[in-house]
Amino acid sequence: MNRSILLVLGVVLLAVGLGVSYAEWASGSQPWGQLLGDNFLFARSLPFTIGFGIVFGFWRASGWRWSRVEARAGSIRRFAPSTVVLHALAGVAVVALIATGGWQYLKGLLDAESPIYMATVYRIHYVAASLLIFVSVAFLSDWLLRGERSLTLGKGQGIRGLRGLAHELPKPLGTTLAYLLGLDLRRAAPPTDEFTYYERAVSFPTWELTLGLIILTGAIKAVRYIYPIPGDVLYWVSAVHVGAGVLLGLKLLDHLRYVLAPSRWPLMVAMATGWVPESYVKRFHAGWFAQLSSSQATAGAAAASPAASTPSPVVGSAGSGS
Amino acid sequence: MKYLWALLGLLYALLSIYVGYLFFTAGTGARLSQKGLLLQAPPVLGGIALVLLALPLIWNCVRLATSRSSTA
Repeated sequence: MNRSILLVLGVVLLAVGLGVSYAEWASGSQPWGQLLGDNFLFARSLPFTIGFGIVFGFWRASGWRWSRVEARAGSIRRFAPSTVVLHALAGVAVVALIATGGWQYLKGLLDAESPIYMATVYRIHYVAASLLIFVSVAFLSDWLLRGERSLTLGKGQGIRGLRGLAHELPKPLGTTLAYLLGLDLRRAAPPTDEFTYYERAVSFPTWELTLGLIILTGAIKAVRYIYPIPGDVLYWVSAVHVGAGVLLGLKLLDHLRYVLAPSRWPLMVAMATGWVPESYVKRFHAGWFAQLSSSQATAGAAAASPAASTPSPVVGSAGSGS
Repeated sequence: MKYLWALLGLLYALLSIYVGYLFFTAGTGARLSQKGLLLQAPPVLGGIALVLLALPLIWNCVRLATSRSSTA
């Protein structure tokens, strides 16, 4: 109940924040055109967007069902419904940002006239940026509050994780990595948990770096008309923002390359439905399957003698959440 | 759905190759050549990277569209 009240408060504050800025922009008291008006609206809404993201993350984390392993006829829940929705929103935002940001960069690079009104391109860019910031902050708050670490290698698991990565990579790359880091590939590959070693050691950290850079530099650029920022700083911030934008385009290419591999199609389906076939988990995510099985056994034992034990949380959380 | 995603991936990869080509030609063109290596390098390297990373995506999209079993 309390968490829902907090969520409603977050929505109200966001609406008030946007409303006040919009009212000032619409009143005509400021001589702003569409582009500058949108910039002010975006910059002023940032604290409210971030605040709403934190509240939403708290709402999600506090409603998460920790100990449940959800399974149905031959399938296991891999993602909560809200994770599916937030991931889809982030995907739409990233594509829109790459398209509009790329358009702005190419216009300058090629010194060409844009057939599309540039203020409209910037408007879409700001809306998509707000969406991405909200989703990123919501995920970050939620994961921090729940102590969710399934997308990282985990403390003390670096060498094991890198050995798993070397086994997962194509042989020439894997053996090169093993040679450079002194990893013993004669040892069997460690069983894969909920996420593959590539996702945990390469893919997710690069998403964090790219999104962190682009959000931070984008926010600094956006507030430059509200808070004076030295020209030199702004030059480098802009350069890093463009570089991070190109990196984001490259990252999306690699992400699609990874998830559109035929062998990983069930995981792609799981990102849309939340469910993954049990046979697939058993075959390709043996570590996760073992965790789920032991959780189910613990839950079964606890149900048989409620006073004997308490359900242990599932690492990587297969719970349905809110 | 599999074919739609293969098509979307293919479109993104082809668009990336085109953008990579634009980056490369702009980076090696007369306008940026006068401005020095520091300003030329990002579009040239970014263009090459876009093309290189688009190729495996094309390969996987074709494999996805032509694969019979979803867990092959």
